[in-house]
Amino acid sequence: MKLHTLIFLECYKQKKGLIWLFLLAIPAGTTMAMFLDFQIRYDYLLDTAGLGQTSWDLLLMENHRVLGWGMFLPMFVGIIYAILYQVEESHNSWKQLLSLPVRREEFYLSKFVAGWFFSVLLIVLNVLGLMLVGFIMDFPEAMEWKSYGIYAGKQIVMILAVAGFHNWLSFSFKNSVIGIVIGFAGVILSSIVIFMFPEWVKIYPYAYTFYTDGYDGGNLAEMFFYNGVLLVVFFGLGLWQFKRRDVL
Amino acid sequence: MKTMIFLEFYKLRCTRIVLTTTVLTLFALLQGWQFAKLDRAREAEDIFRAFLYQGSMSVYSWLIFPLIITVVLAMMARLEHSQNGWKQLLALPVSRGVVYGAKLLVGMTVISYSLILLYAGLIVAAHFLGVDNIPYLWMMKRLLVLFLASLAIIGILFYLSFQFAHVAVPMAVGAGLAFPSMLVANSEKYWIFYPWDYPIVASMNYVFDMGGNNLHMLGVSVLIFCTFVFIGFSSFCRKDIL
Repeated sequence: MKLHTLIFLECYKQKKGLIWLFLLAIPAGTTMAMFLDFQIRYDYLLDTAGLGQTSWDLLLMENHRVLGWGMFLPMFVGIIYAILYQVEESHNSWKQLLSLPVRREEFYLSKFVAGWFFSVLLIVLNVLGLMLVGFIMDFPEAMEWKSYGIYAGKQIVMILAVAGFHNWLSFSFKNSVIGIVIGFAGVILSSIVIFMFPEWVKIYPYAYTFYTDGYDGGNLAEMFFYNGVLLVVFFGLGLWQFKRRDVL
Repeated sequence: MKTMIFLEFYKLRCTRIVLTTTVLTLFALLQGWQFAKLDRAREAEDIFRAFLYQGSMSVYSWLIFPLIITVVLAMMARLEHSQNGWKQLLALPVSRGVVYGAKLLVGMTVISYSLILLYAGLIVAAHFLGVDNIPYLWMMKRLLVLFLASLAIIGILFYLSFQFAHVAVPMAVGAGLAFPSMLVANSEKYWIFYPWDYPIVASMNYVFDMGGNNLHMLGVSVLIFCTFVFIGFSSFCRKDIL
């Protein structure tokens, strides 16, 4: 079986699953929250805006820092992986799956890519929701396609280490709650690390997405390097463990 | 009832619920401790309220406490949902009301344990920081109001946890609704419509403008709790165990 078939199968397994509801509800909630926020205090935000900041910049900052999208995103990634692996646990289908003539590397990679794909969808829907708010509010400035594209792109890349970690966690624990709880703890700790121990941020993957709005703080290039290193480490450890998994 | 409560506590021994609650609560204390340490160096006044308490509460009431409620209730429900434990439990000669009541009571006890741990932790941290005049009673009142204000969240999540077998449902709702709470808390008018804001506003009422809605908030919280417990109980009584 080819890798792309396995990835397609992962998406197919979720056809009637909760993941679609989750992927729609969270961006719908952020869009609604941003719309109400701008409906209520757009004038105030414009008055307090920094020099040269447009309405689109303000919208992005409100979403990322005030609403907390940048901080919470890794937690949502953790929930996505828990839902993906819950399918196998709830139907006890590991035995059937691992008895198929498929290389374990491909199977593990397909889970990782499927989870990452759903996370990308979540990010894209959030950004599209922001654009919708801007159009409904009829911002006077032209749409900043480039900055919004870069914003989405940075998030898509900077979730990779967390995705690798949660792919590993979600398959390691039969109880999917544990992976989600570690995601919760990671996000809570990130709020402490970012503000109290900024020197540790580069090795703390839950904090990376916080800096993807590109406004201040953090050395994203350095984080990008560690993001890659941690992805390789988490993916490698997970794969090593996955290959040793007993199918019985 | 006593036996059921004892049994529920016995089940908890086999889980990591208490450990998770302890670790998450300690995160709040860590933040408060760091805040207070930084500001003690600057010889700030009222280190306890302005830094230790507020530093801990800013992350605890917004993020940690709602997530502890989510995790505790979802994990307790999962104990029965997995392997269809309901079948074994409800086949025993116990009334469903007792089962439901015992689960609710034990869940609330674990959630209260987090508040007691925070209370004790703040006192210990204050002693280590050399803070005189620790406002024991003031802090106890604040935490009690915080607990009452969080009843709405407890009621909603208790209902969802027992209603849906998929553990991701209460987890996603609990986390998803905690997420915009700080944004909504900044609104003087609209926070009252958002129960996930009640713990934030209740514990830091000197930061957020309550617009004279203190008592309304507690009333609404208790009302939501009672409504969801009642709806959940009615549905639980009709639950098919097969």
